[in-house]
Amino acid sequence: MQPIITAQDRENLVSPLFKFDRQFWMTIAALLVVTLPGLALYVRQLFLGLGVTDLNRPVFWGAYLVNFIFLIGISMAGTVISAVLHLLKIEWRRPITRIAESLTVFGLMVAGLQIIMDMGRPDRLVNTLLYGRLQAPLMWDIASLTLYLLTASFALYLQLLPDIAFMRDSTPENAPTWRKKLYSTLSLGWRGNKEQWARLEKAITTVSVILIPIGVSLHTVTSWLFSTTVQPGWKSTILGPYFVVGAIYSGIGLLFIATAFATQYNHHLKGYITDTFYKNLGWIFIVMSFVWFYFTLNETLVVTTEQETLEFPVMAAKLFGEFAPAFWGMNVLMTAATWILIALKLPVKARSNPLFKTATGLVMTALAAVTFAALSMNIPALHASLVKTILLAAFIVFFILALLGLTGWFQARLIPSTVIASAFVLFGMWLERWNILMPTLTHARIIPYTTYFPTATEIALTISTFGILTLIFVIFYKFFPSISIWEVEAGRAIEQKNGG
Amino acid sequence: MNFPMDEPLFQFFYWLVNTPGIGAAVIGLLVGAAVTVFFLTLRWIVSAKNESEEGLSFPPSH
Amino acid sequence: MANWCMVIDLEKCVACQGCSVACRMENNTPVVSPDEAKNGRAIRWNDVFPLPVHIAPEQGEYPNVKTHYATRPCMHCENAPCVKTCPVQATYIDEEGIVRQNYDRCIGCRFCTVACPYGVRYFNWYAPQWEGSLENHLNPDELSVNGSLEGPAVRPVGVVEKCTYCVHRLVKARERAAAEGREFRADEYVPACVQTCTGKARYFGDLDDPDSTVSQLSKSLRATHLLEDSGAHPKTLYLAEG
Repeated sequence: MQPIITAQDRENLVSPLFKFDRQFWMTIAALLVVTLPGLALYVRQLFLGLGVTDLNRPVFWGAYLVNFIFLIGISMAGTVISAVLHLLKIEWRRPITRIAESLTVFGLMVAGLQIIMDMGRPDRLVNTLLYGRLQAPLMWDIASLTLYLLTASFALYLQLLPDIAFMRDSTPENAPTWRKKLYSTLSLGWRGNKEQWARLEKAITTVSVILIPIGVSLHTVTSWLFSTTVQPGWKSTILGPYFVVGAIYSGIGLLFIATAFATQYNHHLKGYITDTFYKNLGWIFIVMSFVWFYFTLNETLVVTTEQETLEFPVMAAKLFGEFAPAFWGMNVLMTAATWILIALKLPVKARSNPLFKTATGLVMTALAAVTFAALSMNIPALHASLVKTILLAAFIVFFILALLGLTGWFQARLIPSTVIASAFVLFGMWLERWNILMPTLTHARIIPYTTYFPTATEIALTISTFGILTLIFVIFYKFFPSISIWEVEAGRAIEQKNGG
Repeated sequence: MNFPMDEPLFQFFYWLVNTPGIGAAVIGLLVGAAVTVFFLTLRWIVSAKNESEEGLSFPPSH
Repeated sequence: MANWCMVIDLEKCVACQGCSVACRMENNTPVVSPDEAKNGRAIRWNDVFPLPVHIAPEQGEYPNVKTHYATRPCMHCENAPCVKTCPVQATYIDEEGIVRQNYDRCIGCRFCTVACPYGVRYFNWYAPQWEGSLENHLNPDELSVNGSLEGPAVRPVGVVEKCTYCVHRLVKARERAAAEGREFRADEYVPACVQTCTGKARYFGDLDDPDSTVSQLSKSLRATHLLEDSGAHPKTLYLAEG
């Protein structure tokens, strides 16, 4: 049997970890530039109080909480997806398990930061431990988040263990001593004998089984923060599963973006994370789109039809009121994303009819964007019923033509198209979280309606959050291979066995 | 309120969910149990001995 | 033990906002700038607002217009949503049915403010400030519970505060009775808003005492609660406009 991990593999996967080249430092510098302003503004918030945000009464929660739910959602990505794929013994999961599992851990870390940012008294964080009360939904969230973070970290570590040992054995001679020490300590003396492998596989399978209910519990409990209150728009039984579905949906989106980012960062990874992964996970993405639309329809239709006096004003604000741009923007983004993914699966290539020209598509996209902006703007002249109807019809026509026109472009480019669709889904899901929180908060029952828009501090901190997430990602993968080496080997072994 | 709060069992439940510190104790218990189990699992994995000490770089079952 | 309750007769209320001002002076509520107030950051433990809230206050066409106003202290709910959601028991219902707030323990997560359907809870967005000489006229009354200040004690930045039915007055009345060596009577204690009310539209007393004014009024056909359907079992009673 030929060696399964070749010298080329070592060159591709191990060598970059010891090269602190210009690209690496530039990336770090760029991320720091993005992250630091927010941190500075956070220090200001610490001194002045939460008054530096645009939060008010009754909008007591804002961008930080939206980010929290969003990050909790994208952290579903990894672990649950890779756990399910592992249990189903799906082979194409192998190269992406590492990235998927690490995204969970990193996502949860920065999600925890959001809670601290949002606290009026972060100095009293320890009170949650001294006086924690089980009746409070926030306590359930803390319990679930902690347990999920621990279990996901453990799953990541288990999966890393053989690779840490591999790193220990293939650290270049000139590598700094502390790195050698790091790998030999973390590898816990892993030798890779038969029994160790058998036990490791058992442990990985068990953790995969445990992770799924814990992951589901975290998203459900996060929805319970809202649905256990008596506020109109939140007290809904669908919120739990809706959050779980949204989490898996946006999680897959983040996974695509992360893998594309990783392969862009290290071109050699393209040989491992192949088109097969994008194609196959693309199917799950499409299914999740439809499940998500199904839940959104459920939520919207029921409240709109019953028109109950307390619930309906909240829904009306989303459908026609000040949250209409965010609500319909979300739906437009999700529709576009779903179409892009479906286009990639269509057996027929777009024809050379002018309707399917990229140029036509771009012009139509611009027109659709202009009409959408016009519809969103608060200009009375644009809201005369006839004008509005024409604008709406025009938008629908432009939008459909835009999607059709760009279909050929999408079909020719698998990975960029998937990444664009993922970005749409991520932004759409952020808007969805916004649309769940804000309409209810601004439409309190016996407090005058107010508005809320994040201030510079909140926007900067949001950007910082994603900067920190990327920073952790980049630094972590300077120490550990972003492709699970042993999984790739195992995959190749299976291929060899099946091939001959 | 038509909640069976007169019954001692429910009074106990209420005490359980309402007393400050119990939530923290439960979280501590969960974290403690999880960390212990994870630690023991890791020890169990790496302590495995085999007659042939040949190191494999991927699971032999494949 | 008493079960303290307030009754507000909307028929008698002239919406003079005297209760709101009395409450501010009694409870050391910080003032905010007009801009901040417009942004929904004014703190009024006892608020006065038109009912229904979301419709222009004047209804009908000139000269046949009418306006309804409500004054709103805390409802001191029996099944208080705020108490249920507080992760650290910084807010709790005491043995006498008053929903209280522990400023030293509050972590500022604002779950209670979101959970309260009545919007009676306020958050200190900035450190409290008083304009000019107002600072020299703070209420010096203190209420210390297990070492932490409650009631009118000046609140730090980042915590939630709310109407306490002026619970420090209850403690003071009890102490006075004890010092004079006599039994404490329920009518020795009224919150500042009740004491000051121009139209004597507010009543206060022990709901468990069948002879008290509030329990007599609670049997009135006009007796109602704000958002009766909220499930919170609010205790502050309103006598509807006939």
